[in-house]
Amino acid sequence: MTSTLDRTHQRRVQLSLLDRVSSVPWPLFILVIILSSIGVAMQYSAGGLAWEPFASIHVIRLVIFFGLAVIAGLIDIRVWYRLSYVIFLVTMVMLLAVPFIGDEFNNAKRWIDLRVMTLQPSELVQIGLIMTLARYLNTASWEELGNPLDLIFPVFLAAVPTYLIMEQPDLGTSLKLLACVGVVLFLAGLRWWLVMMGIGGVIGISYWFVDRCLTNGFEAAGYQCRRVLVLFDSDLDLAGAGYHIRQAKIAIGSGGVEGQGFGQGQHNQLGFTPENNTDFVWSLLAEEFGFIGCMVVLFLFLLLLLYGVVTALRARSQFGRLLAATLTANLFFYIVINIGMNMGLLPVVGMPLPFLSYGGSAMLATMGSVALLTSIWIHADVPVGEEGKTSR
Amino acid sequence: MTARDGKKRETGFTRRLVLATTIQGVALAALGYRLYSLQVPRQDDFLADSFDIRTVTRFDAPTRGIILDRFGRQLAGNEKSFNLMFYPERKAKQIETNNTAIVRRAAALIEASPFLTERMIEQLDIGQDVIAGEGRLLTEITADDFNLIAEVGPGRWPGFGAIERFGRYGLTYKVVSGRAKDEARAIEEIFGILPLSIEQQRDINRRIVEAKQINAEGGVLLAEDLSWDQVARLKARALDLPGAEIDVAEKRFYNYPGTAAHALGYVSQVQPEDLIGDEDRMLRRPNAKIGRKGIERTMEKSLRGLAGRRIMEINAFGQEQRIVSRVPPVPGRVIRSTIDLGLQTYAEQRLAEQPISESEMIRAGAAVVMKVDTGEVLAMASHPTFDQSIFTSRITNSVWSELINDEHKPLVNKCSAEHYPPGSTYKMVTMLAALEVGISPSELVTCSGKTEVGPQTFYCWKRDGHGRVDMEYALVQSCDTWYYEMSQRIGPEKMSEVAQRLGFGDRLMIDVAGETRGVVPNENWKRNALGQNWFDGDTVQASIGQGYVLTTPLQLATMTARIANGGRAVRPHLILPDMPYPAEDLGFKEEHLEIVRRAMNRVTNTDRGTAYRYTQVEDPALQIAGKTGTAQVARLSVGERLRMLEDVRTLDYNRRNHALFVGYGPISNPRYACAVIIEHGDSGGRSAGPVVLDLLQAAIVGNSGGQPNMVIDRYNLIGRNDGV
Repeated sequence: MTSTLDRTHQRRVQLSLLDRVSSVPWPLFILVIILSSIGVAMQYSAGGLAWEPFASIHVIRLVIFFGLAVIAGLIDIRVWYRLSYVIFLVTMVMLLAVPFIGDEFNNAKRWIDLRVMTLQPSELVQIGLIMTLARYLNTASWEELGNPLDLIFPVFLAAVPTYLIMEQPDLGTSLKLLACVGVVLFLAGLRWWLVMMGIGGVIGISYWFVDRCLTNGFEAAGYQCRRVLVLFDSDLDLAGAGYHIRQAKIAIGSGGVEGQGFGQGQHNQLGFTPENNTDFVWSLLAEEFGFIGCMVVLFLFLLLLLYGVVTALRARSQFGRLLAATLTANLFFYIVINIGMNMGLLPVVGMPLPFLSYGGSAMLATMGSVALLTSIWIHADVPVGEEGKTSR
Repeated sequence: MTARDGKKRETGFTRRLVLATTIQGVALAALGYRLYSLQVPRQDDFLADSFDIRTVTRFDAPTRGIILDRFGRQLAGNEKSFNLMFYPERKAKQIETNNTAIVRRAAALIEASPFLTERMIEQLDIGQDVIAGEGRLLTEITADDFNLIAEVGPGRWPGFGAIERFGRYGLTYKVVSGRAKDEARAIEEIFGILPLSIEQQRDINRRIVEAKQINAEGGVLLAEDLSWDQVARLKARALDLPGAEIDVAEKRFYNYPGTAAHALGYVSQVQPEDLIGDEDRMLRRPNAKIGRKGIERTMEKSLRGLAGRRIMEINAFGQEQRIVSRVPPVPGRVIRSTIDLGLQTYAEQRLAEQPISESEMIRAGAAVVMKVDTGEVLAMASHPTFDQSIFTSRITNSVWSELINDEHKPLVNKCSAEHYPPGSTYKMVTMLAALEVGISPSELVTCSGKTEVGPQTFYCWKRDGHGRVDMEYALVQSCDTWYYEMSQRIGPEKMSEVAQRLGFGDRLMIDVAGETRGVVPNENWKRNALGQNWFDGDTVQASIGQGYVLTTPLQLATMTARIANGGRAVRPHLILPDMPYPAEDLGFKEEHLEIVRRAMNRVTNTDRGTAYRYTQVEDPALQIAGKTGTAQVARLSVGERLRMLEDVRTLDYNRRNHALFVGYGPISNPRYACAVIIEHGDSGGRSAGPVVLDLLQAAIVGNSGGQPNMVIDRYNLIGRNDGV
């Protein structure tokens, strides 16, 4: 008991810039730099062993966004805490604007052209929502979370962007958003019976969905169904939904233990794996660097996630803990869904691989997470919000 | 919130985070395991799959062997031909699935007519049917036949099936590999069951071949023989035409269309029966051609060469990137023919210019010129001829039926595939047989114009008789009576034996197929072929080359060559051998042959000879020896005979006598033998004799010194420059 009190007293409320710089999470930065470099290499290979058109822009984005992330990471966590609702609001406005001013590509409307870069608000709104929920739950007591009525507001907050993203349509991202909401509620102390109900609901809906797909038959099924069904038999629709999976699996399998060598992955280099610089960059990595290369990247991702978990565990504030853990979970979902779909374990959805995939919005979201993790790491002992009060 | 509550929250959070982290770790481990199972044990499978997807095997057609004349002048070669192919399976999967749109785009680019556009789309549909495995629709059938085929078909007729669509029924076919023999039987049986016309059967056969050709390479032939302009436009828009490819092929090219058509033969569409027992991929390519007739057919295997195999890497758009491995095609053999282009051209022209009466030109005939010492055929002309090159592209039905319905049979090689009664040109056989049975050349026979053998009366062509004739004079005057009388002493067996030694009654050609045997009658033959007994009258008829005797012009030329070369068994051939073929001695005594040759000389060069008026020349170097033949083809009434003698034009063409002539030259040192038949030419001396004289002289003059025959220059017949 006393130790807690002592530590509370020892909390330094205000950190000097020097204090902050001296306590930056170097391991996190090193991980980010290594993963980013691998990403640049993959973009270089995907461009046919050339800086144009992908690698050069990827480098520029990485440098700018990582620089911004470091700066943002030095900003006091309480500033981010206060900005949470504003950031959510701004990203929500952008998301709401997509149906009206958005660009359409591949039959989906997800992008807003900002001249400098094309933004995908659905990627950014996740950060905003996670911050908002962490802030909202910051002051929630263990008892409060036992009352389902208290969950109505956060669930509503989550439901609006989820619905909007699903309408774009981008089922993968919206489900990932829901999963993050589930994680943040779970970590905040959601009662086990509710957790079980949630898990049961997910299993039930999945079962119902697959069952409906199977009864309707392959021909009658929509593309969502097809993408699920080809998981079970990739020969089903070789020209359509099965094409990506089959080509990616072949490319990955061709890599073997050591890979075909940098720029030597013939299946990728000849263009048989589509989108091999974005969602299917994993298949390029796997074909060219093989099992060893992939395991190295997987291990780096594991270290990144563990670093996020450690950051969460170190944080004294509930806001910091929830934010760090949920951002880490979000990164985890990116990684697992992307790699899983590349290897034919999960249905094909639009899901980038952090640091490796080309694309500005996902990188902005990833680097945003890095920035917040940095800030949480530095300000681990700083009390946030109205902690200590019994009610909001 | 109390500190206790905060503590509770923190422990709860930590516990749950540890649980969540464990789940994350397990998930990443699962990914690692999946990675391992894809990459480590199954790499070879995936590499093979990758190789299959990013490579295509292309078969490169070998250049068909060219055919040269004996002096190296090209008779048949090849020219480049661009075909538009479409490979429904080859294009990148994610690009576009509407094949019809691609084909329409291609059709617009080459400015295809609406008709051709429709045919291109039809070809595409066929290709897709065949590739998709539904089978190609062959013909519409009745409901009863549908039931029969659906019931019996699958087991009995591999590849054939029946489909029903919208209440109508169809017979379908798809390729079943390795069942070629069954397939031939199946086609026969199905043709036996279904009431089909010959045209329908032809159409079905064509559809079957097309199905096979599509299946082999997965390609559909959309358009043939594109121009440079069309190729350029298609190449420029290649990205808009996934699956479409320009196939650079070669097609047969005949330097002198119509010349030596029967000796060379031609190439045409592959038919189902061609595929039986011939597994060559080249025959299963769209638009594949195969040699027909003559050298093209006989030497097909050598001329065709061996297919090359190229494994190409393609990108996702189906564009070829690089060659992975390559076995180059082996070009077909160059065939050097015995034909002398100059003499051949002249022979055809000369034959075509020959009148058969005061106001009528030749309608059909044949001429063969051969070297007497080797049997090499220098010229082989069959009139009328045809343009071989029309078969190289898809031949239209109207052209085809015109050719096969022509009463003068342009497609038939009258030199070797048609036989005729030889008439008096056969008398050398009887003469040599007489000498061999010991009849003295000086023995005299009195010709009164007719001879009675048994119950029958046989007339000499000269009704008032020749008076007393000896052996030589009988040939000079072509006195039938002498042969009638002597034939009774020689007998049919001896006569047929001598005929066979001289080359009659069997196929003679060493290298090129497509001959008819002709008939050398004797007792055995008659019993076997007709089931009748031999009569003395048959011997009488045979002695003057009438009755059952049938010979080809090629046999007549061979006989003449064997008499002229001192009795050696030369055999005709159309392909120049590296070493001359051996020709054994036929066992004729030189003095017997000398008597025959002297008599043949007197036929052409003495005023009593039957051909004197037509074949006599002063220059001893150009003199020829020969024998006339006027073969009766119909039993003429007395009235008809009189009309024929009065003016042959009043007699129905088909009832007129065939005109024949055989000869060799030069007399002092025989080098060339020649046989000519002018169908219904009335008189051997008048209609055929001058042709033989001209051809032999052309051979003698043109070929002195082994140089290319330049006689043609006089006629200015070579229209195209020949590059060798």
